[in-house]
Amino acid sequence: MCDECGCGDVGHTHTHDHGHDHGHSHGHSHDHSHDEKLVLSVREKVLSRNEELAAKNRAWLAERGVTAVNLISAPGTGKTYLLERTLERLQGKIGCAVITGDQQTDNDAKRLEGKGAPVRQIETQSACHLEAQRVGDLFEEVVQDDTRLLFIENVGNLVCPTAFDLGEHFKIALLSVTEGEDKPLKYPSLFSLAPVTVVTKTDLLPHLDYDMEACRENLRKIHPGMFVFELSAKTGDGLDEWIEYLEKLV
Amino acid sequence: MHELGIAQTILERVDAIRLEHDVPGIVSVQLQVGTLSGVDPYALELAFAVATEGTLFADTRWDIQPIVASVTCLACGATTTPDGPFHICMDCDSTDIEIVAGRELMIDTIEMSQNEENDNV
Repeated sequence: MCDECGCGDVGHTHTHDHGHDHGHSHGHSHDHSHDEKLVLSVREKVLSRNEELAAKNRAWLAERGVTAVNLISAPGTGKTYLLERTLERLQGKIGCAVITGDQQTDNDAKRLEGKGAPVRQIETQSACHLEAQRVGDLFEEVVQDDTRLLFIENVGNLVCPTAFDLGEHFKIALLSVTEGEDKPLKYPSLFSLAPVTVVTKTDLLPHLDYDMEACRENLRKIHPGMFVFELSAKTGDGLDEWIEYLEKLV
Repeated sequence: MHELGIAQTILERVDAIRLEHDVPGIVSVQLQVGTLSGVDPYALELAFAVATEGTLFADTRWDIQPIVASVTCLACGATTTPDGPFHICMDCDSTDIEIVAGRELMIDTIEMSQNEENDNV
């Protein structure tokens, strides 16, 4: 390593102020003035481009009076199933639209079709999250004049999607009872950002040693004031409160 | 594992800055990564190793400075570092807090090399 500038490349040369330039091993020592390094202060957010696009998305939605929620959970928590039931219940009452993301297949979009809401699928290929640009590109295709509520179903992943603002109004976390009460503690970044958590698959509770109060307590520790729904999309238990809540959002 | 995408975004931005300043290479980049940013510094380091292989950034050093989360209490005014993931004031236990550090994901400084090619012995 070059001791002068700390770089790993000893093959280069330094200029200095005694009339000639040469390599590192020059057999004598003297004062150097290094002018080939320039330290630039950048202080720039890495995701600033995504954040600019998210702000554009947010403004676009606000102009049209559309509320957008970004649904985030681990794979298999039941985002799509809850959305299916939700669209059925809101059909004819509130204009809904859906953008759903997965790495591959349009299986989710197919499941959500025919329930009165335009649906578009984003296949992210290798990416583990949605980004503002691809979501915003689909707005004109799904948002119609009467659309009031846009569901953005993120790629199943509890970590990465939390870093990418899509221009939604807020994030909603989903957590199934089979995932354990301590998940909010293990993956705090999502739960600290989302003001709402939906605990899903409560129909399985009789088969599990699940402590719902401990789950609620953990959620409150990570996010004081967290709004928590407990429901089973399968049996419909708790779905009324969820639907009433969504109706109040628009 | 979105660190590879993050690394590529950083590389694109750093390269754009390099071209703006018309310099041949980048010696090092200082990054700030908050513990609440959702980015794992170890995975990010690995991502740089993969993403820069065979490029002009192959020898660039990526200095990742972790930023510990801290919260300012709206009740007592203290700024403290919560123990674990709990967002509470460590002085008065209030949950009425604002997160003031820990969400950073930032390019802080860039050290550019200038006379790499045209500087002969």
